[in-house]
Amino acid sequence: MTSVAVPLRAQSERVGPTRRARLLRLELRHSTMIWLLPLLGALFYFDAFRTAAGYPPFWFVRSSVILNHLVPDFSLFVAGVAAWTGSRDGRRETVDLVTMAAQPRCATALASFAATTSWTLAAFLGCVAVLYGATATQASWGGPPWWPVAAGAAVLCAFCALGFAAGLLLPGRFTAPLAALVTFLVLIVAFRVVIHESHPTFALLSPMNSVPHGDAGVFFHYFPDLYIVQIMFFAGIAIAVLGGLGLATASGSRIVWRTAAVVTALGLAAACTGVGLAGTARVEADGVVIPAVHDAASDRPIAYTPVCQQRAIPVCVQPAFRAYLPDLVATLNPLIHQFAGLPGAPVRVEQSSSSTIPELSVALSTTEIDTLVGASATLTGNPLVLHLALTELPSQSEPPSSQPLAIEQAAFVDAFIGPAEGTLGDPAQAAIEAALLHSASSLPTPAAQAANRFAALAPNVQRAWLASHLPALRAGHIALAQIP
Amino acid sequence: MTSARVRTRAGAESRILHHLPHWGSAAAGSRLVRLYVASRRVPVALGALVGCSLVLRAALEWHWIPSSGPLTQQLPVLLEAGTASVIAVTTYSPFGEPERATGRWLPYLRFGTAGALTGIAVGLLSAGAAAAHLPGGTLDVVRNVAGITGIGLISAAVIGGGLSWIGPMAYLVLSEDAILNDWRTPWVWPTRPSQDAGAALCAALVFVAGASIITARGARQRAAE
Repeated sequence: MTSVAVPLRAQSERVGPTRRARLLRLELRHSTMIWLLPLLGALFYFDAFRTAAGYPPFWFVRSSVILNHLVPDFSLFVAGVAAWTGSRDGRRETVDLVTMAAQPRCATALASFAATTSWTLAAFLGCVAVLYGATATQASWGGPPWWPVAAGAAVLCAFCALGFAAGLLLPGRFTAPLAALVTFLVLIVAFRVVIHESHPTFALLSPMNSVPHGDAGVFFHYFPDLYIVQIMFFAGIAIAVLGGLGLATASGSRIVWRTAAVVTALGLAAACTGVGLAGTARVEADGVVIPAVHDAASDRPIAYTPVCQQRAIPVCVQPAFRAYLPDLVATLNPLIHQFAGLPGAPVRVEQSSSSTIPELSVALSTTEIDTLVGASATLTGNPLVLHLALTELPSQSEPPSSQPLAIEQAAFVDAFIGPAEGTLGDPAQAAIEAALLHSASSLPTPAAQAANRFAALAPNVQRAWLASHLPALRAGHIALAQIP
Repeated sequence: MTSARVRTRAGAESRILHHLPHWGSAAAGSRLVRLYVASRRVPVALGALVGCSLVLRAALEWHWIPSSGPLTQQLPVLLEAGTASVIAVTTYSPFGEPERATGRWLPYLRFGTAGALTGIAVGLLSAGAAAAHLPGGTLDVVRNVAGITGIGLISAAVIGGGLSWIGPMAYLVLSEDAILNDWRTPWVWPTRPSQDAGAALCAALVFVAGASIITARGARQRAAE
């Protein structure tokens, strides 16, 4: 019999990566997250997907559900399952067995964590693919924004790491539900409490932020500053926690301990930098500006060729709003017929960015989960062009008649009849506007009577009166009694 | 040679099985309850329930709960779901088949533990909200805790005690979504006012169903646990 001498150390080194891959494969096959995938899919459909379907089909607005709905829904289950996985050895009282096995304990723990995180990210990215796929079939302009996806992945990794660490350090049957509970508590309470503190901009680190206005990311690039800082903060937490786990499970290996200490320090530095940068943030109409990471190139408007529909006064919109153009033209058409050719009438109606509305910056709140309602119109230039900003539009899935664009009509009339910029309208202007919009009931009695009188006139009589009195009406020189 | 003599010779009897009571006596019953409660980690569960009550107290004290709007229900429902998760997880048994085969009193112990913990959770949350305005009041707490605990107990019977918290947490996400979107089905009872009979009936039905299943069958035993 011949014996073959094979150096054990060399053999061990050669199969090492294979063993690690096999360990990861085993963990992937036996991960508890697999059983949760149908539940996560159902929650995605009922919450995030249905909410997104209620928004207009613009990439950036639709993508806001990733951080506002998808990530919070996933986070509590991810933290709970990660805690359950992390506490496995402790619950089964096999810590001693695992610690003295061929693989260091930190390697087996890392494999468990990697498997849970991999399934989580696979589920998350699958849901994002469905969301973006559905949006791609409806959106007529632009492309998918990836910053919210990266930020969402960082948040999930952070909660996965925190849950796993809780399970590893405090093994027990109650660790998983309490990890899930604390995760949701942090998401819905902690960041809300921070708003009332002296530095409310820290609340911007919360993944659950405000829904952007309707045309966000259409006329101007939506700033990625906040996403960069969120990624820095949450990825820093995940890295620091993993490094901390390495310190706790180093099992006497000095190299592992040193590496873990460096990783922990790097993670903490990233998270602290994120917090510090969030403190310098300021909220603007096109997003959050954080000077240290802000790219000045993103301030420039996005170039586009408007889509127009020719009428007595042409109406033009940004290509992303192409689907709404027929409804908008139908809404404005009666007014266009009324005003075309009158002194001071616009030669064209053009859509402009809602970020130019001064009220928008006041209405914007860092954490308000709401959509701004309204529209604004201004007459500028020579020849006069009416710039119409649309801040909220009905979803494409709803029939156009369910939400008439009445607010755009009001903005149009207000820009044409209303007072000069910065002054309050007088009763005669209000009465004529109400008469043209058929909304006299909202006025006080004398103005309502005048509005009803004017509304009762034939359209050609109304037009003739406007042709002769419009400059005086706009200047505020017409009294209620002078209205026919 | 009997096993009792072996224990006596080894000198272990006085340490391990001190004062074996007569079966059928009150002492035996209380010992059985004590061992069952310990095996289900009920003392730790009570600590977690006290923790939920303290968080509710802190939320009311420091105004973490908005005074109006749909978000007023968010935090109370979260804590109610948390207590229900904890109660559901207590159904996990570390003994498995041997206990099922020999435990004559097991159904009573299961029912008693689930019922008592539910009552204690309601009491603790109500105490946490004492002398403060809790949206919905105590009736809301009773209905929500009982109903969501029922979901937790059903989850324990279906997917096992260790992961039974998933059921209440899934219901929590559904409820939060329903609160924000103003859904009004009685099956999502946290969205309904506390005097709503339909919502109370749905919650009671779910609790009775959960308690019945867990009493009769216990939590599912999974090899993976």
